[in-house]
Amino acid sequence: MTGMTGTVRTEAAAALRGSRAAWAFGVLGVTWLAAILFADGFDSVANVRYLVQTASFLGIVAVGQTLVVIMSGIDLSVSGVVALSAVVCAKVASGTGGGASGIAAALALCALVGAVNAAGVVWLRVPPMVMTLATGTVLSGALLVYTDGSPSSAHLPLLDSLANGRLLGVPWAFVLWLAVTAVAGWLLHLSRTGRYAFALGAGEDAARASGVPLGATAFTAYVSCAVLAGVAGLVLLGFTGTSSLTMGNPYQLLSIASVVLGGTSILGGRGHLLGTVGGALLLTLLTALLISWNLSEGVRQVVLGVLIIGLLLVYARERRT
Amino acid sequence: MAPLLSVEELSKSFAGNQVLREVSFTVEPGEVLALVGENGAGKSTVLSLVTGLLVPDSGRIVHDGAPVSRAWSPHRARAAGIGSVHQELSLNPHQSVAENIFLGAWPSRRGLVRGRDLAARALPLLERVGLDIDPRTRAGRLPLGCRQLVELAKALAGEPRLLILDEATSALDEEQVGAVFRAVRELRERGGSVMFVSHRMAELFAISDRLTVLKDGAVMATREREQTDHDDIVRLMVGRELSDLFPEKVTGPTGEPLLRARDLTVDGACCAVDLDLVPGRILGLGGLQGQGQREVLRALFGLARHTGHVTLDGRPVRLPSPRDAIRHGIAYVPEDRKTEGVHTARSVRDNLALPSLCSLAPGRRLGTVDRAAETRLVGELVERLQVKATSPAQEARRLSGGNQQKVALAKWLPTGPRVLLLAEPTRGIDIGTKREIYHLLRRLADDGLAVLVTSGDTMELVGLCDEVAVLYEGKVVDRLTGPALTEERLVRASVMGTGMGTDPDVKRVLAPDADPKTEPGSVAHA
Repeated sequence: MTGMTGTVRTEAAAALRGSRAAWAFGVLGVTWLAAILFADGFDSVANVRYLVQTASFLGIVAVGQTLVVIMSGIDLSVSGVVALSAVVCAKVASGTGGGASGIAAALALCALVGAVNAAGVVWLRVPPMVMTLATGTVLSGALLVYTDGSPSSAHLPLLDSLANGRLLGVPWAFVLWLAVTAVAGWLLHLSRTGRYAFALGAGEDAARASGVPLGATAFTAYVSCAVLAGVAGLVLLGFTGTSSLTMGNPYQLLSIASVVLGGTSILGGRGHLLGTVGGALLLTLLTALLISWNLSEGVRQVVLGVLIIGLLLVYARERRT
Repeated sequence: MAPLLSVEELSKSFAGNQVLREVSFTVEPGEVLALVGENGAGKSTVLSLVTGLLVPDSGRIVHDGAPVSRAWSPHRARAAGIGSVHQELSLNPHQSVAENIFLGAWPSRRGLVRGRDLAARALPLLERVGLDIDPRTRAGRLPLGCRQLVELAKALAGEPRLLILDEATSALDEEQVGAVFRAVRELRERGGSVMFVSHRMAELFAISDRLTVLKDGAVMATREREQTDHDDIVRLMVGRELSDLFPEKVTGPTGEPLLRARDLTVDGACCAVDLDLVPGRILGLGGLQGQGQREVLRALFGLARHTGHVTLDGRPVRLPSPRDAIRHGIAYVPEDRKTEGVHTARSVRDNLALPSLCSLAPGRRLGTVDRAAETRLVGELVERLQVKATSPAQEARRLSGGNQQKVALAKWLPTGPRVLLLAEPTRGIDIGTKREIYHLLRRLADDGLAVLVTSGDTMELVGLCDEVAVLYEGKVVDRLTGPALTEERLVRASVMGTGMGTDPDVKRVLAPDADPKTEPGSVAHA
């Protein structure tokens, strides 16, 4: 009996070692411990609270990005979509419409952008990288025209409490992130659509020959990703109270880095959504650490980039086949 | 004379699983040694050790009188004159045939590679393997069989003294196999040696001088070809007689066709093909490699654009996509099992459940997959087809070819197909699994499925099918059934392109002592 529990335990340990998502949380734990020991202020509850709150903005975008990457796509328009959502919502809300119509308009536009991405990839067969990059470029140009270069600010009580409020001491933004992760986790790991997404990512030819609905799966993933980027934009709007054309920029590459550091294969077909949560927390923590060392913006970016590469080399390399 | 290559008591284990046990054999200069054994018997491992892809746990390899160094590698093996051609293709599809042949050793003039020089040097090599193609063609545009021959030309370009052919003929039709054999004999006459691995017994006996039989990682015996026969070798391989390889065929009147195709045409592949698929019957599509067999199946599964009328149960159906075909109860087991048949990076479980997700994750569960039902379904399929996997969670790429093929077939069974299309269902699969698949197909037909099979293996078509339609340049040129369905008639129709050919000597492409100058399709060479 003890032998059997022993085997089960060894197997579980082996599975954990083999799981890149577990690695992401392991590295996160070690980094956090190091931060508490060697940097100031990382042991306070307020700091943890602030960290998970800021990680939520990145995390929500990264959850959407995971859906797309799993089916071997990539979404390079998320920075544009984050800005689109915030700018449109602020403009509508500060103009004639109310807050609710601002939010609805913003999310509807984001869904439309996602649908355009999917249509280009599925029907026009444009490579995802090119298609979404082009969409993102069109978006930032369109926003410049739409706002005349001066985006409006808006104070929406709903978004404000979503971004800055707390539920039993836990930031609402973090709760929202967890809820989004739960729904997306169901979609990706428990539902039919998720199986189709994994199958598509593991091999398009075999997926087609097995009757996987390629179009519907791609639309679901790209639209979900764009809507989630839109949600992140709204929360950011609530956080800062103002919109800007470049507010989405940091989330473009960081969302992809979160996905990959979370152990998901950038080629699709392998990975777990929870890993992305670990990846987003890890990247946010690293950024906060670098800020606490008073490094200049430029040096910070250099160090962060090098750290991302280093971590990828440690546990998230693509295996040779 | 000292042997060219001598393998001495090689053993090899992977993760505690011993796959080779003290394997010893020799290859003499100027001989063709066949390595025979079921999938998993250790043939590939032996060859990987010889070519330096793997390092043995114990034992040694003596090449050319001296033990190979510890740093033996594929590169060194090539430099030492060991060339190899594998079943898995290694050509770069975007480069020309000539560039592929000389890959890594492009002749250059002051650092510039001249396409014309390359092409000129490639031509004699292509002639040696019986290929009449422009060396500047992109490799990816060639049909599978031709690409395999280009691989052979690439191996010959290195002027090997030992040529290893690992299932290198499995994608070839009989004429192309004849070309490979010519190249092998030519090499043998020059004093070169060949190690030959194939699942086709006729080929082994046609070309080899000696046969070494492997079973479960150990050498069972090495036999001179003159002193053995098919049954002897098969007995050594599996301990089973050959006679029950194919199941009994059905007799009695034919029912109404279930699927009827008329004027089925795919641009550039097949033209005005008429087929009737009858429940309970296995129909074969024969012919030389690349006569449109593959495209007929792809058209019927909605993977190839086609014109013509297809009716199912008398009602016309359109098949623009695989999803439409699947909805009509058509299932397809493709030729290219690693890219289309199974997801090699996904688990056996995920592969088996994929086509059944609509019933495993119904709308009333909001599309949530019923894990318990999935486990049941996967367990039943693994049991029913005897899929050998360590667990359903094992990745499909870790399975042997035969078990991958079982997965590619098994995954359709829960969807309740009525028409089953299979392309080359037993290519590169060991004889034991072949037998299981033949019997399974017959049982499925007995349960009322209409089965359509393409195969490059004449014996398989004759042994398995109730009727065989022979394709030649995209047209059906003959239909053989009952007593008329013989290997000779089938080969004749395939080669002549007519139903009533008269040349009795068509089978000589496989005969070991045929005069190369009179073989069909042979290229004159000095």
